[in-house]
Amino acid sequence: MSSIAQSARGALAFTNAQHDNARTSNDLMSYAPRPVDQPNRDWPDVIDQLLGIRNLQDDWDGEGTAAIDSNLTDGACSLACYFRDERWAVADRVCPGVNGTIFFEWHSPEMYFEVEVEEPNRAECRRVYKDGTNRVETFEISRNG
Amino acid sequence: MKAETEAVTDDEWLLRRIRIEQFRTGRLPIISPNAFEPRIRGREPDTDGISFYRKACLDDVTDVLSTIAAERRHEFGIVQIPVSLVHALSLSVEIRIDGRVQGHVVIPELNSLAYAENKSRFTSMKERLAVAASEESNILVSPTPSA
Repeated sequence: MSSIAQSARGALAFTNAQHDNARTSNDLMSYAPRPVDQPNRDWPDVIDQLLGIRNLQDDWDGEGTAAIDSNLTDGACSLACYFRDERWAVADRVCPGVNGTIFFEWHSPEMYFEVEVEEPNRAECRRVYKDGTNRVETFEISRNG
Repeated sequence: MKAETEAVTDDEWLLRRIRIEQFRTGRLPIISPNAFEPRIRGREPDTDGISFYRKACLDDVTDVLSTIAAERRHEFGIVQIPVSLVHALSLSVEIRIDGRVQGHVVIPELNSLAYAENKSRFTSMKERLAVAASEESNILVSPTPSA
């Protein structure tokens, strides 16, 4: 694990994109995927995967996609450390997107939750309820410090 | 085999290439929902919709890798999803002959412009496609890491 994966304490402002209300980081916690039994899984594994994403070169997908910006990867590492420090469930997956962003994913029978890191200090979160309604909640998180 | 100009029917299967980064064995779903993300940027954005290939039009499913450099084909897997699922999601399948690989089709609703305007509208669809693609019987080829 590299030095960029150290503790990432810092203020996170939480803005609900649908209602444009400023929220606090406590509100964000209400959306956090809850830790469950996750044998052999820990945040360092996720951070190591992010470092792998950081090493991707131009045309990493064989279809001309540019390398993921290293500042974005650093931002995603900081966010992963924030999730770890706030005791979120370990992400089930982190992967690069074809549009130069990075996705964290959590899957459960009840919901699918993804955090798309779109800028080093900003991410969009989407939660899909798998209750037959397929209702989606969307909100943004941004880092202030 | 079907001719690629023949109408797409509900009992067919669609093939999609999946990058190794979007495969994760030991996790469910194995395939990331974001393997179905429309490409907004790059040399070939998905302006007409994301690409699939009709299994019924191909001799060999690995033909869908023929546009990828030979030394990089191991980085891709191939999955199949039923056309009936696409329709159940209120999506459609359109034939887009491209001359390189037989049976090329797109899902026009999953296009770059619509995705850029409102990504959250697609989140549930991507997830449903990923769950179907992750069924063991629907993973036809798995990628292999570089040595």
